[in-house]
Amino acid sequence: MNKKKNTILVCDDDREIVDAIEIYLSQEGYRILKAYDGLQAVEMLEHEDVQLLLIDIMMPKLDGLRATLKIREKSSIPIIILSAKSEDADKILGLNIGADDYVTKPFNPLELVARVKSQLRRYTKLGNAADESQKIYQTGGLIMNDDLKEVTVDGEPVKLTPIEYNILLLLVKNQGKVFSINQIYESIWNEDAIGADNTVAVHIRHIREKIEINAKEPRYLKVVWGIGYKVEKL
Amino acid sequence: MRRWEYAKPWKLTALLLNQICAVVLVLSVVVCTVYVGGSGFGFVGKDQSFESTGYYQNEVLEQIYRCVRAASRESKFEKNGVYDGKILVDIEKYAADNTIGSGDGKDGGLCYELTDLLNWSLDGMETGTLMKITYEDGTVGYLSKGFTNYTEQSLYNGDGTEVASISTTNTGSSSTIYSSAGETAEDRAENTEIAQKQESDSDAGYVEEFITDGDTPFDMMQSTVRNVEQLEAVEERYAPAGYGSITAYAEEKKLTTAQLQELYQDLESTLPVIYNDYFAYTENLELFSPSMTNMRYFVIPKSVTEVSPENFSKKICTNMKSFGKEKFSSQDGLLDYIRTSYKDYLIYDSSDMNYEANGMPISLSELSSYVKSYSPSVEGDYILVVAVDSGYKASDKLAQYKKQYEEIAPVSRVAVYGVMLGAILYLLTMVYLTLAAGRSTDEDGEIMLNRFDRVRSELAALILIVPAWIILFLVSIGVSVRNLEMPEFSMVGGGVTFVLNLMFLIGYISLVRRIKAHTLWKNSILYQICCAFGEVMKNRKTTTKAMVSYVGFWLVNIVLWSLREFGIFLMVLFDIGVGIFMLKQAAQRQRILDGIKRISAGELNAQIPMDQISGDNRVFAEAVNQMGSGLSAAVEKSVRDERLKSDLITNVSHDIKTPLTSIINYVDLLKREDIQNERARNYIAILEDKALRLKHLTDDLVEASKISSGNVKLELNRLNFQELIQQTNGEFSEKFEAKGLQLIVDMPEEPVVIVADGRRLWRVVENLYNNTAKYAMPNTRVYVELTTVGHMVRFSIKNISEQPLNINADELTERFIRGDVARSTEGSGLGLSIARNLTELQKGSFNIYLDGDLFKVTIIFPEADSVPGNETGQS
Repeated sequence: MNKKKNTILVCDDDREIVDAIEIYLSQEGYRILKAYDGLQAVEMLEHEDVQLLLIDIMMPKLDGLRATLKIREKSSIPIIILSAKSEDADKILGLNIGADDYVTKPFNPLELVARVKSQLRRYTKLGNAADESQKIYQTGGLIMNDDLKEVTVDGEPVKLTPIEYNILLLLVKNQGKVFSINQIYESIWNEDAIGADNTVAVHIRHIREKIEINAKEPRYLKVVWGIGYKVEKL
Repeated sequence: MRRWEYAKPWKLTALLLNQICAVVLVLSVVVCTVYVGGSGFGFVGKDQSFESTGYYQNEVLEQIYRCVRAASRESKFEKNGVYDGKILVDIEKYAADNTIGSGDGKDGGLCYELTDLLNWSLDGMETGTLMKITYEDGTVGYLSKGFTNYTEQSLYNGDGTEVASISTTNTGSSSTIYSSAGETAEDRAENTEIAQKQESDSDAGYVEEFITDGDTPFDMMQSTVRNVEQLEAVEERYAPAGYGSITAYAEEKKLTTAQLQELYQDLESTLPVIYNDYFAYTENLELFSPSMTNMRYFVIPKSVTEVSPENFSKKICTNMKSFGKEKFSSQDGLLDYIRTSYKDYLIYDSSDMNYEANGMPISLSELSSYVKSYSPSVEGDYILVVAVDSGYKASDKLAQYKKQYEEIAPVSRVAVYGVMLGAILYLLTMVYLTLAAGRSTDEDGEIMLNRFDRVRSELAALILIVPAWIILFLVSIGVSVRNLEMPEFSMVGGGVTFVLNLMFLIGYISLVRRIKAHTLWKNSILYQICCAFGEVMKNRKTTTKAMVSYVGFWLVNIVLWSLREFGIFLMVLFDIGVGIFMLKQAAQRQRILDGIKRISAGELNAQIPMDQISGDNRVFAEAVNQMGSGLSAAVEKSVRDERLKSDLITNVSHDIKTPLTSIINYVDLLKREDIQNERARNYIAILEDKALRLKHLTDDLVEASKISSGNVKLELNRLNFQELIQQTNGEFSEKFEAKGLQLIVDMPEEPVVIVADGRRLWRVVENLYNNTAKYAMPNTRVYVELTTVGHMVRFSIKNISEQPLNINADELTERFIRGDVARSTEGSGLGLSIARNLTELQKGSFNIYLDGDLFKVTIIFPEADSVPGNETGQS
């Protein structure tokens, strides 16, 4: 790895989980700190230079949500919540109180690593990438350089087919707006849509698989069921 | 705290006092109304005399009238203080003003001797027709006919001697011709046969003759008769003083026919009256003797100036013997004597129509008008004196009243106070007894009931009502009775009242105790009847009840109708009452109906308000309420159970997930180890697969339990079902391709809009597609259809199952039941269950159709209005 060693604090009352995460992340070249309850995590953050926090919710002494709140008072480091609580309400609550991502247990280790990487890249690199002279569209970690026909997610280049690129460009240009299949079809192919064709839907799925860490829980390209697709404005 | 005021001695005292008061009250009321009321003695004050009482006044007034009448009669029939039958009565005067004139016939009117008139009156008076016949020569004859009871007809001469008796044979009628004085019968009646009979008696002579036809008795005498007049006459049985007959008197006085007629009329009216007068006079002689009456009267002519014991009764018309030895030289002296010796007197002077009265209850006008109709037969003016001998030596009514008065006066004075005091004390003791009834000295003691209080209420009411009624009845009788014998009355009345009031009190106190103990109604016969009737009715069917009520309604109506006026009024009231009752019932039923509707509409907590609901409806409403609350409780319980279960599953799943995380992670780490052993690598793959399956299972389990317990918040929006299917197709294209499944889609090009929660509907469709992807026979076709039928949107997916579907369609959606129990591929078996529950949560319907290996799911949603809705803001 060509970057300086980032320090990640992993906090969970289940030691085996912490150890497993340590193994995965160490392999990626990160320095790992381990804590087993919220209080410990808060204390360690005060003394150590930490770039990312992975924290469980249900922990003794100080739970993950309270710890997040407390940390957010002083620090803006990325926080990823790891929790067995998979309800929508739990996710929304976690993200609202200041967490940057929410991963439910049991998680796919690779997905976790990808998310950690994504958060770190945004935290450490973003802000200096934009070049005013070029036609650049951005949402969150997704950047489209229309001059170079280049797409990067959290700095990683993504390879898209021309149709996929055009669809994504349409959606990224109009962030937040929902496009129905027919609208997308008409504006990309420049001809009337023929019903019962799943071309667009398949393309969208492919794009998602390329730009999202977990295609089933897309971060950028979202499906608005029964209405269309949109790229979230982040 | 002891309630000393309800102690036995006090109660007994009050009872006794009440009894005494009742006796006093009843006796006093009777005494008061008898002696004090209007026509009685009047209220008897302490200083009031007998003479001022109503009894005295009424009696004296009556006596004054009687005295005036007595004086009048005495003056008529007495001469010098003794009865004189020879007195001549002028009938004209007598008929005019009941006086006899001068009494000696010298003033020239038609007079009879008193004795004659009395005898005549006693014998009987006969009336008939008298013909006055005036002949051509100026002579006058009289012919009488038709006197009842007398067949003999008399022919009188003018001087009273009998002249002739005429008999006319040709006519057949009978008549009597009276010839006037100096004419012979033969001169006037040549054609008549005259029977003549002379009698020596001057008083009466009879000539008999018979004429058959009374209408034309004088036809044959046309030539000599100038004029015939008819008179109503009295048969003369006694001759007037100085004349042979009235006709003779008339001839001599040259009276006209009308005057003669008047004389007859006077005679006719005098005869009965004078006899009555005479009879009254003789009675008065006795009744007004000083030993019989305490009234004194006398009439003294103004001409008499000197009064002495000698001339007393001769000059004065009186019921007194004398004024003792007193002699008065003038009338003033006499009057002064009257004034001093009598307390109550009356002096009337006819000369100036003045009167002087002391204690006499009569006014001048009353007196003078009475005196006018019963004026004394005295020459010239006179003085009338009526006085009351206040010694009351004679035992007349006054004396009797006086005696009564003296007996009653003190009693009645007491009686007035007795009424007031008795009434007040009676009420007070009644109030006390009412309060004390059934109470004992214990503060919170229950109402004490004795054996009598358990007798049926109606019998007790009789004991209450009957004595009260008898007392009132006896009092009303007592009030109307006069001349009560005080001692006897007191004894009997008091005793009866005592007994009756005691009965009344027993009944009354028992009644009060019953009311206090709330047993009045329950202990009544009526209550028993009502209960029995109610019991009978209660166990009848509703229809029977309605029928009995209806018949009862008509019976009451008919009975009341037959009672006329008041009955009809009652009937109208009754019918209005029934109407109001029915309206109330209807309102109550409506309320129950509303309640049932609300409950059946799912508002299980809805309760029918029980106030104002009564009778059968109450039972009805209570049952509905119980049903509602039972249902509500059952539903609540099941919802709570479901939620508890869901929470339990959620919590358990959290606890499962944590170790599962480690398992998955370490299996993954194991996988990365360089393991050469093929078998070991195979084992690891199995571990990984099962760990992932466990993850799915827990996720689905949580979701399924949440959805089935309704613990899901829907975000309903208008969305295009067609778009959603296209999206889904896109999502699943690779999965289907991988299994060689060919997706054949048939749906309209235009949007199909429904209202649903996009993510949840996707979950439904996703589950169905997943199901197909998992269980469809590889390399077959999968049909997806979307149609709009009416206002319903129908989605269906069909595929051929890889495994035989030897299972009930319903069981497929039951948890953990899958098409093939033995199958152990991926999936939790909850997919269809979740899909079904989510569909139904969104008000859609979900159907599974199995036919051999054909597996078909149909989802139907109502189509939303075509107006495009909010298409953004999805999450």
